[in-house]
Amino acid sequence: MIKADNVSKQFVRNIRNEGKNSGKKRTKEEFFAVNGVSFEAKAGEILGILGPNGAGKTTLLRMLASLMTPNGGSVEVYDSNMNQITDLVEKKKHIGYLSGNTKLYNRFSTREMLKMLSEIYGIAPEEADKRIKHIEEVLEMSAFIDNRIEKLSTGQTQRANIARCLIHSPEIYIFDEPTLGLDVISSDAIVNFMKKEKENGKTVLYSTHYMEEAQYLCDHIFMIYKGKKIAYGTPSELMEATGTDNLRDTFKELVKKEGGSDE
Amino acid sequence: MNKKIILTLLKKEIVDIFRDTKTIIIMVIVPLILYPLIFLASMLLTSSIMRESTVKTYNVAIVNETEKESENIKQLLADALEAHEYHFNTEYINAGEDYEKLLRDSKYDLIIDYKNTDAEYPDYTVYSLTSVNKSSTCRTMVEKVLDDYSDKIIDDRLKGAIDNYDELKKEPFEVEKKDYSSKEETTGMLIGYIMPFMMMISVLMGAFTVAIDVSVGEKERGTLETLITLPISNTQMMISKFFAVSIFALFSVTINLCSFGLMGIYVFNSVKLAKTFVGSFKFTQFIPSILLMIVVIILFSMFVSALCLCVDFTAKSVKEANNLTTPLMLILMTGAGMSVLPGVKLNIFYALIPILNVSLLIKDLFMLKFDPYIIAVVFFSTMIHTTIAIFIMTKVFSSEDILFGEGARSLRIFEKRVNMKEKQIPGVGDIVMVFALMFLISSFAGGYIILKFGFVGYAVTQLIIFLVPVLYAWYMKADFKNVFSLEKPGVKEMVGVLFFVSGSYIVNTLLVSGLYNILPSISTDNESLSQIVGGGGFIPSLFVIGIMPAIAEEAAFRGFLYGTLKNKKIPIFATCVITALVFAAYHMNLLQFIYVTVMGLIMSYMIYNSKSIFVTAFFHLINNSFSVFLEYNKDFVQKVPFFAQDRFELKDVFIYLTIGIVLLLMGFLISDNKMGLFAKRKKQQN
Repeated sequence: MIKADNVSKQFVRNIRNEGKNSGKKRTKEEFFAVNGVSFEAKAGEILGILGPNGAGKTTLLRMLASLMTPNGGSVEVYDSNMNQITDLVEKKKHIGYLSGNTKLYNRFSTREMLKMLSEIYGIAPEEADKRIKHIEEVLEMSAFIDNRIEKLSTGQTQRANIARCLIHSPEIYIFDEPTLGLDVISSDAIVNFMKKEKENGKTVLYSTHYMEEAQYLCDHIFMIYKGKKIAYGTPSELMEATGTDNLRDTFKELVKKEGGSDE
Repeated sequence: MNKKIILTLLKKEIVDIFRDTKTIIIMVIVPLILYPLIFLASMLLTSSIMRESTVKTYNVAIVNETEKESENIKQLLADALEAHEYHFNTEYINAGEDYEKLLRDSKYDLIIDYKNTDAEYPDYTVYSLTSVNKSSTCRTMVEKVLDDYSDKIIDDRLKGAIDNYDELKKEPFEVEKKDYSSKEETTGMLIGYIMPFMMMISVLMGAFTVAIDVSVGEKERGTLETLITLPISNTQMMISKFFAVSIFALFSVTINLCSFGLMGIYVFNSVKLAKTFVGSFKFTQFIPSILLMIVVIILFSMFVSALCLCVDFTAKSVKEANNLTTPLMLILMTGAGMSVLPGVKLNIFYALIPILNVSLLIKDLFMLKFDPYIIAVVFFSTMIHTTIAIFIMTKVFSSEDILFGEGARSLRIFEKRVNMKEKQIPGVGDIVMVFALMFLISSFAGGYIILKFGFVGYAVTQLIIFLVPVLYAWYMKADFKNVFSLEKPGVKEMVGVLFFVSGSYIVNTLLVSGLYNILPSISTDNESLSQIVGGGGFIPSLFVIGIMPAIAEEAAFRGFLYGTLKNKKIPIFATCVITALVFAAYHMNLLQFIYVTVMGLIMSYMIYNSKSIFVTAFFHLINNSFSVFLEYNKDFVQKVPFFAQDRFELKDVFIYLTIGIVLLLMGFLISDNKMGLFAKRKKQQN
């Protein structure tokens, strides 16, 4: 289980004023990328994080995955026995994080990479070999597992990337737009993967711009806009509240209500 | 576990870099080809220049006025072949031709004209184009020929005029030249000039490509975000990257040295010149130099690696990192270049300057100059520079800033003071930072001022020693009362100080005289100390040596250092010893190191017992002021046998030592809060 408690992240933006009077002055402006966000995602649940571009989704997910530290509030991570994990490094052992920015080491093969990762996660070599064999079968990677990653296709790379998240069998998956730019077959593979892991009792958090996918997949949806929560509930609850019959329109309605233009 | 993760990460970095062909080409192939190519090119160049100047034939035109004189000149030029190996091709031309045009058209390199006068010999005019290389050389040659001719005529005249010409012509004395430089020294000097450059270039070549690759390179390839999803700490990540860069820097050095060495062996065996002195040349003389150089280069590689990483972590992209490396390269090259400047010799001051100290040391090592003291200072200061660079690298850059930050624009060396928490206790890292800063500022600024203004420099040094820890503590909003032990001193502790001072003074005097007997060379340390104390006059000395250290050194050592350590999970005994040892090491000479350790231990005990810095400050004040007093009151010293003596009889040692120890024990009994006389009474009352 993962819980966000009043989480905030502040950034400092440099702005160059080149007005007539101010000359070339640089001023710093502080703004909240994420502002006082709270929610929780239980085991066996898929929570969708939705929001327009620049809403703060990626920053929020990075904080949840312990890649960034929040300025305010806290992220609480619990293992399967509901023991809270407080150590920052230890937290990462319970989380599998995947985003468009998590690229793989091109000069390694998938197998070499997985072996290296299991050493870092502290998995015994025999156990690691077993897991790699298992992952190889599940993700159908035997054809390319020993090739260097730079030689793989986009779909194969994405599968290798999922394998990366799987090696330490985490309890929580955090996926930032995992299906972005993938063809139907590859993105279906990922969607199915998330569904299966949910059935295995794992927590899945994910952000996407594909509303149909979210409607089909998510148990709960957390909608964020300008760093703040604007809605939370099951897809059907949200649709009901806005009087729409699909999530795409719900999204547009909610953003419009906040005074923003839709995407 | 910690080490295992760093090793795994290090392995990953190394494999990753070795699989990158571009890096390997720069690091391995280039040096392997470069040196032979440079050598070959320089050989070709020198031989072609030599050929040009000797074998070339020069076209000289003689303006034909009278046949006899023209023949004479022609003969002179022809004789030059035998005398100087000058090749001239002479032709006659008619007077009144356009000489300039003939020269500019390269028809001739030189034209000689002459004017017959009433005198025995004609005057000559030489036309040339000195902007053209060949013509310029030709003019020099012809001048030489004409000079010889003139000398010969004068010689002949003198011979005719003076009877004892041959006797007068004899050289009045002979000069014999003898050189004590061994062949090893001459060769070492040559290597010493090249080696610093080669080392700087090879360290930087190895470090900078790899540093960019593992820092912004990873960021640009997008693998850095993957890396920080792993359960590794910031420090583990930084340290593994740092080691990877250092290893490649050393790898590059190795390749360069091998290539250079092979080249050297080849040249040695093939060039005739070298063969003439190969017989007595002992390569073994350079082995200590090479070994010491390897050690200093290992340290230096670590320094450059940390420096490169610091620079590259501020960059936003690989391109920006490359741009930022250029000034770094210039600084390194300047350091190497300055080492070959005449007059720049390795001394204590230069030994503290990063980069320059290493290049000067390498030069000195190959010139077979070994000064253990200077070598130690270079090693020590390089270690300090490296520590600072690593400290900055691990503390200033968090993985979050590197990955998501705006590059150099979001760089902040320290947390803003406003964001600091109140009543902080400094950490061990802060101690390293404060003492490194203190060391650097006081040795540069203070050292410079001491050189320039003498005694005032010591006051400035004390001021720096006071200001650095106090300002640092102020900036981090440290708990001053706790860290600097600002407690009101008790009466019994202050009284105890008087016994401790007298006791420790006696024990130390005995210790110093004992050390004189064992190590007579140590007395120079004491003489230089007396010089310092005696140099300023009584009142200034009392102020600078008596009062200032009692405030400044206490603030730094019993204050910042002891105050930080006492709050850590370190046994209090270890804290006391560490404080005493650091305090002793700070005095930077062997004599003081030994007796200040004893004093430091007593002072550590006093602050532990009293929990008040004023007690040790009082001790320090009395102790130092008394030394100043003795220095300026020699009459008094003469009257008291204990102070007048340099050596003590065994019987006297025993008596004085007993007095000293009794005094110390009395101090202990008066002031101790647990076992002392007054402590007990208090307990009984309760």
